[in-house]
Amino acid sequence: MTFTTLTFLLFLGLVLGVYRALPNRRTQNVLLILSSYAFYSWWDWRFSVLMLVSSLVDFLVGKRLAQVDGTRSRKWLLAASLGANLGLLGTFKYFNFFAAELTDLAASLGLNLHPVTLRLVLPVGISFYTFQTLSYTIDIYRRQLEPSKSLLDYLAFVSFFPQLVAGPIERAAHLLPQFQQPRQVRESDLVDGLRQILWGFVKKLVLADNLARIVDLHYANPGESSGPVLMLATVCFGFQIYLDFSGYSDIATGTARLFGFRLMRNFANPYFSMSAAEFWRRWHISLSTWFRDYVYIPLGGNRASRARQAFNLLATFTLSGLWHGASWNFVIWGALNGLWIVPSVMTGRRASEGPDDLPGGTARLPQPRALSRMLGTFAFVTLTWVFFRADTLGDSLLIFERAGLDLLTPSAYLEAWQVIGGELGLFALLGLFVLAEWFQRGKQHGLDLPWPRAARWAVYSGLIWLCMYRMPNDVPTFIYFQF
Amino acid sequence: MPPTIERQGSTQAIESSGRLGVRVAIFLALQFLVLASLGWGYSRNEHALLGAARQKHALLDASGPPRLILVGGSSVLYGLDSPTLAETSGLSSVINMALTAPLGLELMLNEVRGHLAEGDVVLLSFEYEHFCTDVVSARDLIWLLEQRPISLEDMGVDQLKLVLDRSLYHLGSVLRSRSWDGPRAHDPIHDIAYINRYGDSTVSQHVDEVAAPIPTLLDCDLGRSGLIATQVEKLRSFTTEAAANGAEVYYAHPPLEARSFESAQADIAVIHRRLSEALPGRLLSEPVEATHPVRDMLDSNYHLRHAPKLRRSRLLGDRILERQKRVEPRGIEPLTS
Repeated sequence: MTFTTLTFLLFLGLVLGVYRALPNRRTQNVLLILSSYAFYSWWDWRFSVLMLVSSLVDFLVGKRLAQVDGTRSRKWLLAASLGANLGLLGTFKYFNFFAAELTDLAASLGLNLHPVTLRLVLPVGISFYTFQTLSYTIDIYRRQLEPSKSLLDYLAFVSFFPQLVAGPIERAAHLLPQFQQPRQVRESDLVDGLRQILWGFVKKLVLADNLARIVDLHYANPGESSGPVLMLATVCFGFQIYLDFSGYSDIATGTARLFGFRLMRNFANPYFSMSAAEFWRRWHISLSTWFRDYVYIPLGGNRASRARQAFNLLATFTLSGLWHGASWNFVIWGALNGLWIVPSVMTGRRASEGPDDLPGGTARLPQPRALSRMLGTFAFVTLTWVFFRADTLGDSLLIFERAGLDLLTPSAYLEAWQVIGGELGLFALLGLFVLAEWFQRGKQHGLDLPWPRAARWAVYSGLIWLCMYRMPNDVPTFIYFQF
Repeated sequence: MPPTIERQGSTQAIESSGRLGVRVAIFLALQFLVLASLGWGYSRNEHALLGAARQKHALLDASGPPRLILVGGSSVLYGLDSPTLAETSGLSSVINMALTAPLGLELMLNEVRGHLAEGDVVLLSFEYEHFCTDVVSARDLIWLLEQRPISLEDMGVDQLKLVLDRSLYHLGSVLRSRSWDGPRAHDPIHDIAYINRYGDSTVSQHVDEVAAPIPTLLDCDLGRSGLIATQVEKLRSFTTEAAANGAEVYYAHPPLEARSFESAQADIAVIHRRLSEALPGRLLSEPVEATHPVRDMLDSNYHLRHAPKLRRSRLLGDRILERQKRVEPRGIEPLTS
């Protein structure tokens, strides 16, 4: 079930109404489990069976881990959980990629292997809930978390529909206790939750899906567009992916608040970052911190020589690229970001800004130095998006080639200008959005407005009807559903 | 940081949520007012082809057995001539229920399922996309509902899900243009004015020069979709159910342009084999008999010009007559027996 459909809005209204009428947290949790499985089965009921199996394995392993003391037994249990979860992920997401690569490698060595491929549909959100359940067993193994005594609480934690298919990837230590205690939903939670949902809809329907038209058109046949047009399409993709994914996260967080839950913040104005390190503290925070805690630190983190730190970073970023999908494009995208961040480690200059600090400084308008650093960071991030978005590695290289060849061709810039001219309304809305993001950057979302009620209602109404007028003709999907 | 969960007195909480409920209700009422003012004056497109569903259902309701009921997508609407079929098959009452393939096989079958009676004959000309990829289009289903809301009863669960998911986007399209007529309104091929009293489109008698090119080759990959087993089973159970009511069901391959046929020949052979196994004696034609040179096609695959349409109707009518003369066992034996 996609958030931006009438189906979801009716579903949400129904589940919320019943939820608020239920007498205690236990019955509320049962409702949340049932509704979450119904939500997930809207795509395909078989996906729910897979999620249930994955959840049960980790629940049982977690329980057993708490009962066993021997190091060897505990390691075996952890291996069982890792094997089950990564096995599922590997089968559904990576098997065909590695089988094809192995066949190619064998062919280059003169061996003729018949490629074995599986005809499997990738279950929506498998990478997200797999990582969430993995963190549960790893934390218990590390004795940082007590296992859940209640299967119901645990199933509700894994399947919680607002964040099930595209995160934020919650840690058990943060979300599970919220299922184990009674929830009291304040009026401010309901109001602010609804505002954040609306803000997510605006990002997705008004901006992301309309930017997608430009991106899809030029990325479908990069050989037919000029360099500046391809670069413009790449900038558009930079905004599209941010608006699409952070819009999803806003709807997820807002929805969770309606039920009295607090999800972790997933984006903190990343495009106002002034360095690579800061960007990665503000972009897809739940995944970045997951890789930090479960890959980077176990590899030795920053308690090692500079060279080793650089290796750890590169390995972590490359793996995070592979998490996004089974293709060399994602691997290169991850590695490039790793290479970008390594110098700050080697020189010992790390960004001090965290996601809760005000990005871009505290001045009302950005200072020239801060602005140039922001633009530089944005430019680099945008270039790496070429690998993320292009269909093949060949297409990525072609886009860079076209950009290089057309660098000094004035007519090519005219083409880019014509693209902008054809979508002036969209670019004007995008400009307004950037301003809103800047002035609201200290807040959780853009609709936290300290205005009189009449003015706020006028803004909300305007945005609702803007969504209706700018939404695409067909139901769009969210980019991160494919991961 | 652990979550902060605030506890309030229950009375205070109820009062507070009650106030919020009133505010939300007022806000929603305001939005409905805006919606009403934006949508004022909108009416359904009376020229839209899908509006023919009303006429077709009225014909079905008003008639009685024995009838020849034509079921399918546009290959039936644009590819069969009811008067010719009536003349050759010996069944004088012919009703063409077909509209377009993206409405889905399930809806097509459900539309006639409850109407079949002793002596009725159904001729179903499927389209290959029904077995290859899921061609059901939420857009067409919503347009159909706009023309004939009661068609909701004929939709299966999967179709209802599609409609519900797309409804908001349809509303958006409607609001973007209150005078919106749908993209087919100005296209003579899809004009309801050419539907005759049997439910056939007679556009091929009036329009000869067609601007639209013959589309690209049929994209069929049976292995990828895995849909064929489900769809064949649907047809089998429909045939059995019809037989239980005393009606006969026959199937025909759709008219296909020769190049498209060649490109999908292997998949079409699989479809033919599966149907022949599941529905013995029910297929009226071989796939190759339905191939046509490009000059026979009206505007796209499955749509015929007038003369080839008459030839096809004559062939199928003759074969129905031939089958009806034979003593046929009623119903289909289960595959496992």
